[in-house]
Amino acid sequence: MSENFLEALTLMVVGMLTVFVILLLVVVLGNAIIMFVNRFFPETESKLSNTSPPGQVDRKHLAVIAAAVSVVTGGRGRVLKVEKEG
Amino acid sequence: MHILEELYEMTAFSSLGQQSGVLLMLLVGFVLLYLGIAKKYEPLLLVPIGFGVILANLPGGGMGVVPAEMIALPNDRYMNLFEIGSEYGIMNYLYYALIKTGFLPPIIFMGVGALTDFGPMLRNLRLAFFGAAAQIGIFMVLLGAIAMGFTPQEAGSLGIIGGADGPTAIYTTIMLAPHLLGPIAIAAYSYMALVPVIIPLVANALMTKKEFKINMRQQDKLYPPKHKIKNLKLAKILFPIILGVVVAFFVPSSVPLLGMLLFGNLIKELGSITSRLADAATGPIMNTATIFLGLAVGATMTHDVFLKGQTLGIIVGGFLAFAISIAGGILAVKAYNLFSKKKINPLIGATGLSAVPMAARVANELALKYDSSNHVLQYCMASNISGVIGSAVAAGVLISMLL
Repeated sequence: MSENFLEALTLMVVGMLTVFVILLLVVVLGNAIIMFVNRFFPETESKLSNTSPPGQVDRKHLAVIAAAVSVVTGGRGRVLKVEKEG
Repeated sequence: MHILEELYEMTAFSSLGQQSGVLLMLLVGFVLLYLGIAKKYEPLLLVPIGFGVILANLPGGGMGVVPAEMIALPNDRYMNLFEIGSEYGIMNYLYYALIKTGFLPPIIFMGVGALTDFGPMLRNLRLAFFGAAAQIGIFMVLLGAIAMGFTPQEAGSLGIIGGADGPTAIYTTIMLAPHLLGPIAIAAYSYMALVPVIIPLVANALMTKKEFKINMRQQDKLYPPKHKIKNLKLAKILFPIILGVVVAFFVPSSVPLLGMLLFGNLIKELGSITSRLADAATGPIMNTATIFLGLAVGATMTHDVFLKGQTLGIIVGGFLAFAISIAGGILAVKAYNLFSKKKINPLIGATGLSAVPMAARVANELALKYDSSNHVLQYCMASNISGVIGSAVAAGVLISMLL
């Protein structure tokens, strides 16, 4: 067995192990981030839902409108005011 | 008559007769253009590469990239860019400034990062492991290539085609075996374009009908995930920052690629405050980088470099690397299913080889063919995206151990 072949075999073992370890880290870090976020910065449904007084536009809807305007105008357009009819 | 002879000498026709390889290379260029334009195989890359091949092989045009020995000076020094430009022309200037320095692949990776959504992976984190299993093709082909007589550096560059990631393959080859850049880039992008053919081929050979029908949503209902993400936006912002720093400590040589990928992803996830940066990364910067990368890679394929037995080896080896990577992912899922109550559709392993998002789309269509309600796309995206990380890490290992 040539020296190069042995080097390749080592590389295969080290390489695959490293890839597995890094992706294990991805899983561990991902879970840790999710737990941290869930524990300290949960974004609850009530926070997202409409807290504005009746007659005004829902914040979620406003965000969607602003995003649509931003895409259509290439980021130059701004939504200054949105009013409900009636 | 003498004037006519001189005129003939001045044109490219005289050298055309002397170098038969030129005609063959022009044909290769036309075939690549045909594949890009008519067949729509990765046109954004194959059109510039194909045209680069043609430009480089037009006799007397001076657009072919010269080997590194030609720009070497005594005492391990090289010509400066001005000297390269004036001696060998603009294509060599572009190649040595943008490609040989390893500049463009990380720039493209930044754009890829800004187009990537880590959301599906964060929602299905355990599927990320299959992105590791699908890197096996890289190392198996490395082994085979060395047995065939390639040097370890050449074999590493050949194997990385199995990572199914164009910028990663190009970056690794620039570092390890720059003389093989042309054929390896062509093989990598051609096989990525052929993912809709290669994945079904391997999946049909290795999977049973029952496995194709494993419904991931039903499995999720039967065995629900432990925790739900309560603030996905924040998780997606923290993820690239923390992952980038941690991976940098483990595999520093993967930082140019992975670091830029995660930076691109961060400016995308930050939303409106950095949307102009994300737009630039995915639009003008990525497009400009793609043009120069394609043309310069094409221009490395002059007839004296490309028309060798090695090229054939790269084309065959590249296909094997792809197929083995897909098989590796599928077999890893099958092995997992032996021990787990919650079954996973092996197609999710097949998409661990990167080629985002085409691999995931192809796998989804395959699953739908067997069961029209079995949408596996978001699960496939999880392993697909982790495959990008996996192949960048594999590239880092190859570079640090073989350079």
